[in-house]
Amino acid sequence: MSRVTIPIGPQHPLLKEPMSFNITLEGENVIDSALRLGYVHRGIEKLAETRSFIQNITLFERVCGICSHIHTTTYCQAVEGLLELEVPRRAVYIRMLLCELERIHSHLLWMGVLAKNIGLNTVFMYSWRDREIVLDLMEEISGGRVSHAINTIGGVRKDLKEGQVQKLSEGLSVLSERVDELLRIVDNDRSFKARTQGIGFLSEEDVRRYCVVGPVARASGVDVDLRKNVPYACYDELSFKVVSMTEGDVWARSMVRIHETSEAIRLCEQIIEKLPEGEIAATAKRKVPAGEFISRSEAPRGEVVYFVKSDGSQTPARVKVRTPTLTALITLPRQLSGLQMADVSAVVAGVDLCIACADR
Amino acid sequence: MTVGNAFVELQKLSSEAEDISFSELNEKQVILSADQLLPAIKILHENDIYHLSTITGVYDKEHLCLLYHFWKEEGITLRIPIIDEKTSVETLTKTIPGALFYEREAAEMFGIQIDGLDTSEKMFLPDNWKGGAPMRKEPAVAPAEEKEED
Repeated sequence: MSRVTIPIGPQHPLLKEPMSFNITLEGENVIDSALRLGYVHRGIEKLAETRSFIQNITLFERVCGICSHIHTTTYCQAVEGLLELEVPRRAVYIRMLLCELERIHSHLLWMGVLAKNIGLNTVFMYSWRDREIVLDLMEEISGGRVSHAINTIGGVRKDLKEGQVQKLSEGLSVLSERVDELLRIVDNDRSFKARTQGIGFLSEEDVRRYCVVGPVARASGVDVDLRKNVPYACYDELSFKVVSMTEGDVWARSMVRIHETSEAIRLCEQIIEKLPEGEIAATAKRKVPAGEFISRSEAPRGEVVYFVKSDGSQTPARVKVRTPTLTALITLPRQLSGLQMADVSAVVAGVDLCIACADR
Repeated sequence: MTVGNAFVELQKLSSEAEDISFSELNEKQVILSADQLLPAIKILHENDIYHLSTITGVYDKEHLCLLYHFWKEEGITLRIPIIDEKTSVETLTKTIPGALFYEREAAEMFGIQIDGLDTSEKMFLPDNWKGGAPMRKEPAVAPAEEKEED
């Protein structure tokens, strides 16, 4: 049978961000696929070397258009590490609150994208409707729906007020019910299962060899979550489960993400309950002592690493950003091999790609 | 502790490496020469350390270095100084296929020679890029005189 190569991207309805993806088909079967990145490469790491430590917060907020807060949190943690600065506990809690709200937002957004890609438009509408609740909550706290600009070196810029806590509690309880409904769909709906079960399989061994992280890894039985394994911030003071499954397909990834959304809601409730009193920021010096620091955290898509090197001046000598989806992208040809063309959309959505993160 | 064991074993390899002083890191790190990379990876794998977080290219005290950040409950970094233009490192993609894009990035952005890695096509930079390795402090390749075409 003759082979046909179909280009998907750089601009394509299947992709929310630009990436080039050439799929070779034999009939309906995927034989091979090749990737090309760089369409949203903004040279952020190079640009960071020309800006001061504090200016870079604005820059790193823009690495990702979905999980912007985790990037600034991880960056600030690294700079605070170099400064040997103790961040007030209230600030750490507010940071964690935004991180968990962002996780809920990211997972609900992803749920909509997957549902849209596999033709379940109602689920897409429902999950994006519910995502509005969490976006409104984030706007209430920080003033921004996606870019929050709340982090600063030494703490946060805005305090949580009593009225906001009340609104948060109400919003979270509505979200909790809605997420249960989504879980019911993912766990029971025949159409959803037919389109996602046994699709895009990655074994535990694949996850290990390809250094895959986050919900994709946890859906294949690798229960690594940096919030548990290396409790940064104050995650050791909160109780939550690391959700993992063993099926390794798109359905398992959906289950993991929905369960994680419920866990994130529980975490937010605990954070509000345990929110310590006190200052929200420590004073940080503008010049950062020479040294190197690695900071790690668990973004909605997995491990984020910031390597920050200072030469003792006001600007960093080097900042390296490790984003979670770069390794998941490498597995795409493996996941797609042997599948049919109609499954490509489910697999591509299933790994929750963030091309802007991957390119930087 | 697996990382602890690996660290002790890697330090034995490291004792023969050149004695230039490098920056301190907040995680365990071992300084190795480029040809010790593959034996070091073998030691890490024997100690059940598989997860490569990323590869960082960085200028440290006048030397361009490659930092291989591994993680297993705690971090461990291999620091490989790229002493001169002739220094190359072996690709890890045979044992760690997840290293592919990190290596491609190091090769494109810093112009580091990675043996066994196919760099015939660009991955991050535009196809018509003629400006050399953009993250280099000194130009690795002479910048193109002609203007870039759109």
